[in-house]
Amino acid sequence: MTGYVLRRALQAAAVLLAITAAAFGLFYAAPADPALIACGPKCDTGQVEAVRHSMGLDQPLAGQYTDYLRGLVAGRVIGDVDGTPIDCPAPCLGYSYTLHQPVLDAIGDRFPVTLSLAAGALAVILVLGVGTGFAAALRRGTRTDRLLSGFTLIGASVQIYFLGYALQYLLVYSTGLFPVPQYAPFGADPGAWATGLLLPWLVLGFVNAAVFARLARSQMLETMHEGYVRTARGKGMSALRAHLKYTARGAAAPLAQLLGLEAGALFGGAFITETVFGLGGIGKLAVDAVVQNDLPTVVGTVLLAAFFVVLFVALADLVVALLDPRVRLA
Amino acid sequence: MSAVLRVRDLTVSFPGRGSAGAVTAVDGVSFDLARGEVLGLVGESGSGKSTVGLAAMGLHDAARTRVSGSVRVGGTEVVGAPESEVRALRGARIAMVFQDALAALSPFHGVGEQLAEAFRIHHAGASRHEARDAAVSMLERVGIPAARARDHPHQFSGGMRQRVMIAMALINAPDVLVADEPTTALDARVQRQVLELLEELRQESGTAVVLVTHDVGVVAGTCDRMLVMRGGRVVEEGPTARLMTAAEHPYTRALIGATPSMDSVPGTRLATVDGVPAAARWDAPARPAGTRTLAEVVDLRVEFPGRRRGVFGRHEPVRAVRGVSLRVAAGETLALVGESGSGKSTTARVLAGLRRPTGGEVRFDGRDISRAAVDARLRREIGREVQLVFQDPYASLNPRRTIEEIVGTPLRVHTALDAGERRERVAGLLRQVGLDPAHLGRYPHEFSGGQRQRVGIARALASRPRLIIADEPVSALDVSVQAQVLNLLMDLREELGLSLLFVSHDLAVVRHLCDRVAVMRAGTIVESGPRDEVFDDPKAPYTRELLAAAM
Repeated sequence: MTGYVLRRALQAAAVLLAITAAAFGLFYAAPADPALIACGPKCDTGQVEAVRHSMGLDQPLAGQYTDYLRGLVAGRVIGDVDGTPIDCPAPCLGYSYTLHQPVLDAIGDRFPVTLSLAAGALAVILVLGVGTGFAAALRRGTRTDRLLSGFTLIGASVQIYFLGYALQYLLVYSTGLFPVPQYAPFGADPGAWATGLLLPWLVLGFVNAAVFARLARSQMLETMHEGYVRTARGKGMSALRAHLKYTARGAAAPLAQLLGLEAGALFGGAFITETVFGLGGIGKLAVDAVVQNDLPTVVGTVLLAAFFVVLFVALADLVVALLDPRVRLA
Repeated sequence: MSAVLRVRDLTVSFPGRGSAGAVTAVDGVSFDLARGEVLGLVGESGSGKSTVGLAAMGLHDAARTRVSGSVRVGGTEVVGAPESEVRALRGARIAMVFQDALAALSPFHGVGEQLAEAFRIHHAGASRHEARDAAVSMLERVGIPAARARDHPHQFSGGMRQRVMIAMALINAPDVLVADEPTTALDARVQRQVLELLEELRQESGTAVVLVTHDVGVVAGTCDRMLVMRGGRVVEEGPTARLMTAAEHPYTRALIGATPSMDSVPGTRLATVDGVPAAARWDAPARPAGTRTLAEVVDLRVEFPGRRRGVFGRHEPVRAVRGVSLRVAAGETLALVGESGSGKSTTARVLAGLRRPTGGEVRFDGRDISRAAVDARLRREIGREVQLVFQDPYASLNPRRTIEEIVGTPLRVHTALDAGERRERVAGLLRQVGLDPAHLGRYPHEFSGGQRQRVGIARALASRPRLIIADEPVSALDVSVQAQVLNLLMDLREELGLSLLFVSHDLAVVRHLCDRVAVMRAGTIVESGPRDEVFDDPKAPYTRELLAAAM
């Protein structure tokens, strides 16, 4: 167990290192000049050079990269556009010259939105996706089965921006059934937090639920015929209880793995959903940063997204091992 | 005499989908089971014997099965009864032991917990504590120490798992136990232990047993009465002793004669169910002892990477084969005998050039072939001379290829024949193994298990090899089909002068077919020699144990 966690942590560190390197490299291949953008359209060549120097962009690429890594581990001092030093404690993800704040702060400001959105959407995916999949499998071949499977398929075939805007128009603006989607901090008012995010949760969850519903259904159907389910019924257990206790557990492993990937993706930001509902989360921050050539923010958000994917995939493997004692963590 | 299980005119059919007609799996079966009696339900696959067991438990898939007739457990009717009534019987009055305990036990829960669950379902008032005590004492009764109650099924051996299964079925002291092939997946020694345990428990508790099996030998040793089934109907019924010696129905006689026993004359043709009497070659010709070595391994060692220890720990290797030396002479049939996990299949795979040995020499016709598994050209050259026949005729044929393609593949690889010539050769091969050449264009699923194994043998013969390695080629087959395939192998060996390496755990089959025998255990050869020497005068204690279990 300890060995597993250590090995997984080392693996994660290697993956993240490779991703920072790739993000750095890719970004420098892009033609735009961050110094020019940071300085603004009215700067002359001299001013741009000064800005370039204070941003550290005149250093060789390798040097900038090692500086970045050192900041990540030990913190560092960064020069603002005008040269004033800014203290950036570890883990320092750099300083955004467009937002005029350390990247970590920029992420920290928006992370609660993404966290709330992702957690709610995952809950919807679990209930709607896995739930309907299980229910459809238990009533396989019936009208309920076809209805449930068809319903989740609608989610897979509809685009978030269409469904999001359409539902927002229908449920919020013309009928007033739902409150206007907005983010209210959970700590301040849990009620407002939940009602404000309800529609985004449903939309984001519904659109992603179909894959889970289909997988859950097929896994259940496969596991239903396992010998141990029959044995449970042979003991005198009712079919429904046997399926809930044994079939569901046998079907759970691939679902846990897929859910891990999905969670990793959602915690890295959901740009389209955030845009549709006007929520400022990590997804929006990342896309804005790319558009504005804000290198530190781009690398920071990419790193964050990768971190969550690596984390949740490892967690999913752990869950699979807990579900099934035959699985050995490697 | 009151019957604890009374089956009358039981008929089970699966209504077909669309154009496919209904399949009748069980057709008008009737029998009584008296208190404490052991009844053998014997038949080959597809005879409906397992379906009878499932229907008695009411465990068939209600949506896809039609059941009529009557099954009464004690006094309670099962057929057509509401699920809640049948559920009260299941696990309490009638319980079942399934064939494959590894599949039938939950992999997610400790064995003690699984027993306790069976107890609690029928003892509504029992506390967790009582249930656990009941589970532990039942486990101890079948020889599993209380300390292992928390272990999971995969941590037990096959025999231990079947003991758990039996303990679980008997925890509520049922009147009837349906045991569906309870020992088929086990090695002979373990099979004997499990059957003895079952008999002991039966005498203690008075539980009547329906033993569903294809193995006439098992029935002969355990059952008072037997019921022979074929195609869903009862062919013959009577006391075991009478049926074993003087069965009236030819099918029963064939079924009994189809299994080579430890007393049958080696090399003789075996009776088959389709009316071929045990005839033809009466006295087995004395097979000439081969002198020239065709294939051999010397001090063979094979290791598999095992589990890793610690963060950067090394993989602890599993030593599957530890210094094995053996040789196959030209024209000779050598048996490699051992229980599962003894390393016999691994040794065979090395000789076939499919696995690279960790150490030792591997030679075919004097040539070093130890690198065949990693050297594609060498592997191809060896493939022409050495061919394999596999255990599972379902898994070893590609379901998406026609028989012509399957059997013709070795010809495409190893010969320069054109398509027409290949077709000619394939047709000839099919004739040779007793299949109709008109079936060239068919797919594997259109054939029965025995026919598929013939296809597998035809494929192995295609490149005209000198050595055929057969890894448990008849273990997955029904007894009558097994007889056909063994007969075929004996004919072909005679006709083509083939050398045969026959890997098997079945001593009776080995005794019938092979010239020399090597006995493997835990990666080493404990004894080897001519057949009669090993069987009549075994030197190693382990060989004696194996022989005792097979008797």
